[in-house]
Amino acid sequence: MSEDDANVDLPNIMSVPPEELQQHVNILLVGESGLGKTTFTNQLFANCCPSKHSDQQHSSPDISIQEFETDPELLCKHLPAIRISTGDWVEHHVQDTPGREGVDNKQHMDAVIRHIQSKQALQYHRDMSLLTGMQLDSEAQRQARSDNMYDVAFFFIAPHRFKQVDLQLEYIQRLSHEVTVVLICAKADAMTPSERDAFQLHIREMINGCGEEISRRLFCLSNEIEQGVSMLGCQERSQYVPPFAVACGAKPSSSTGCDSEALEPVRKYPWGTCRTNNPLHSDFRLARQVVLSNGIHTLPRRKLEHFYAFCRTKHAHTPVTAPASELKRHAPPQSTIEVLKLCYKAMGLEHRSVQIGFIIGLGIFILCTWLLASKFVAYGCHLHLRCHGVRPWV
Amino acid sequence: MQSIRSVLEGGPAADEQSEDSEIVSSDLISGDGEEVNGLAAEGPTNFSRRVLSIPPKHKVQHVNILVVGATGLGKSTFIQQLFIDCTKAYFEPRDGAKVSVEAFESEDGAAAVCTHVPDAVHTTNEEYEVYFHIQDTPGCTNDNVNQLKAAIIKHIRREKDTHYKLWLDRHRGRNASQPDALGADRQDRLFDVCVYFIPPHCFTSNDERFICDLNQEVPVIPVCAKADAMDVREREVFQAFVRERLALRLNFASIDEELRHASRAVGKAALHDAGYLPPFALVCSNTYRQISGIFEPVRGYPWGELHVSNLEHSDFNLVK
Repeated sequence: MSEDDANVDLPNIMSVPPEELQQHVNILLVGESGLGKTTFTNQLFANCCPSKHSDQQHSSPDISIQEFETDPELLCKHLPAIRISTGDWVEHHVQDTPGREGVDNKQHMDAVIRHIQSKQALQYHRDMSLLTGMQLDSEAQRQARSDNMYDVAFFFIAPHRFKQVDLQLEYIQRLSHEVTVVLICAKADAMTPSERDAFQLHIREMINGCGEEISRRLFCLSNEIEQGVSMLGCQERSQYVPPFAVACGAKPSSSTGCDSEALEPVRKYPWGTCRTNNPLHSDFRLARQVVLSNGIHTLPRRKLEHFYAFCRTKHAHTPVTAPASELKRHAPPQSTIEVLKLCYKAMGLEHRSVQIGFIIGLGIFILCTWLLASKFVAYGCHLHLRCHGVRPWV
Repeated sequence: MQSIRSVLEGGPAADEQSEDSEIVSSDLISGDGEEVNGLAAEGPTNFSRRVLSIPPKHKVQHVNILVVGATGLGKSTFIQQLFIDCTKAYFEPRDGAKVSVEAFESEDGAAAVCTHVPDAVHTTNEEYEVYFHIQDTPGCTNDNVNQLKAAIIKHIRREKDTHYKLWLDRHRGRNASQPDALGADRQDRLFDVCVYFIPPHCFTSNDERFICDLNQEVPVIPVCAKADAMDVREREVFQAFVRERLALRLNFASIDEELRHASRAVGKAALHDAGYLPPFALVCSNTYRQISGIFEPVRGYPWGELHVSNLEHSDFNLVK
């Protein structure tokens, strides 16, 4: 692939194999601050979304992990729908995570895992509500999309953390239980080709050392990678396997000097210019092709596998950990009044006067039924006694 | 490409490259002229004992440098590259990541990661010999930052106490006949400077507090490590950001003269005149290429080659 081919603008629609598609793609970003997560996201959708959305913010708000647990929407970016080659529209939602205090700590790991599981629980409750016919209230409907679970999580590893990858390995393993993880070697432009290859090899060896199941989960997109390599025609390097060594440009610049809508993102150094779409400089194009195009059918299937594992685990062992508001709405009734309220809802009785009339009518009905029943029982006893020659009491 | 010697003596930075250049990694280099892996190193002339341009009023025999930063930022490469052209033979610096913070709290643990440069460096007037001692530290993480800071400050004060104890013993006539020993038994234990490595794109409040607390004990020079991870614009923005955060609490005026002399020594007096202050953008390499008969540290990328000695690419020479 020549230098000129690398400079070809990315198409503004994605070529996707024609199968039935979901409408929402949810992406999670995990990594410490300064690794270019926001720049990566902007460049991921640069040619698919209007420029004002892709360049909306240079960096995410700097919030703590506690603030993230309270309100994850602070770091969530909802992108406009993208038309794909089949003519369908797909919405992407990119959820960033705090990275100010680093990610090699248990607090961050537990918080992100809880967040992913809360999304799965929300999806579970939503699906159960649809099955049982119970309607969610307006707040839950606003909160819940048709699909809330994460299709993929990009885990960013810093090149200067080469010697500390084992600290993040536990995080990666736990994350891979909940969601499909794609490993990214961030700031790949800080590494020479030999350092990059050594870094990728080191990470792969560590993952392979964790067991066959872990490596199978983390290297599950090998077919999509092969397809991506052949589609992009980038066979210059000996092999393309995760982690992807990615360098992203913050500000696109005109590469040819002519008026072009789709500008190529570059990183200018005193010793040269790194073209992030060039496969020899960065694996960005390949990562984009694999996740957004080739993996658009594989990732939802894997997401459902994770969801089914979540449901099985929850049924077998622990109660479903839905968000507190959802738990409150779906908790079993604790008193007679709550039972009545549920009945009112089921019957669609909205007004207080109707509810009171219903109570009175129900009371009268029960009273009459009791009186009739007692009459029948008394008459039955009277007949029984008369048959046996006993004069019943009057 | 000019030699480091000519650069240090005030020559202009050069951009030319020799056609007959080879890339050699540092572990193949031998300073004694023997052939290594088929490459004939040209003997001590390539890594001959260079002369550092030192202001004559700085009459010290031992210079103690403290190096602090997270693991993986190139501290060991920096130490090695700092003195590779000042020593006869190649030496391997001791890696601070090999000791834990708990082990570093003890005197033996700290001594285990202190590198004593084997050869002395002569001043320009050949009057003094300067021995360098570089104290590496365990890698700084978010979990151990407070414990590490306490351990480092404890070590600095312990060395200060040892220094004054030895000074008192010497002036009271005890051990007066013994000459000043080199290395671990040296008399001068005070730290002259601390080089603090800041990760690229990441300057947190922990780093700020760490630098300011260390500056109470020893002058701190912050450097932006792995500066090749930042392009031109990002580097300027990041340096300005760190400078602004530290300006109120770090007094760079106290080392203004050193900065002025260093800028002139590397032929960039205009840098100092323009107010170029720390943090310095540092890039180091353990890969060398022979350029104009001199082995220069380089980093080769698919889009170009970074020359560590080039001040347009890295502030290494300025830091040195």
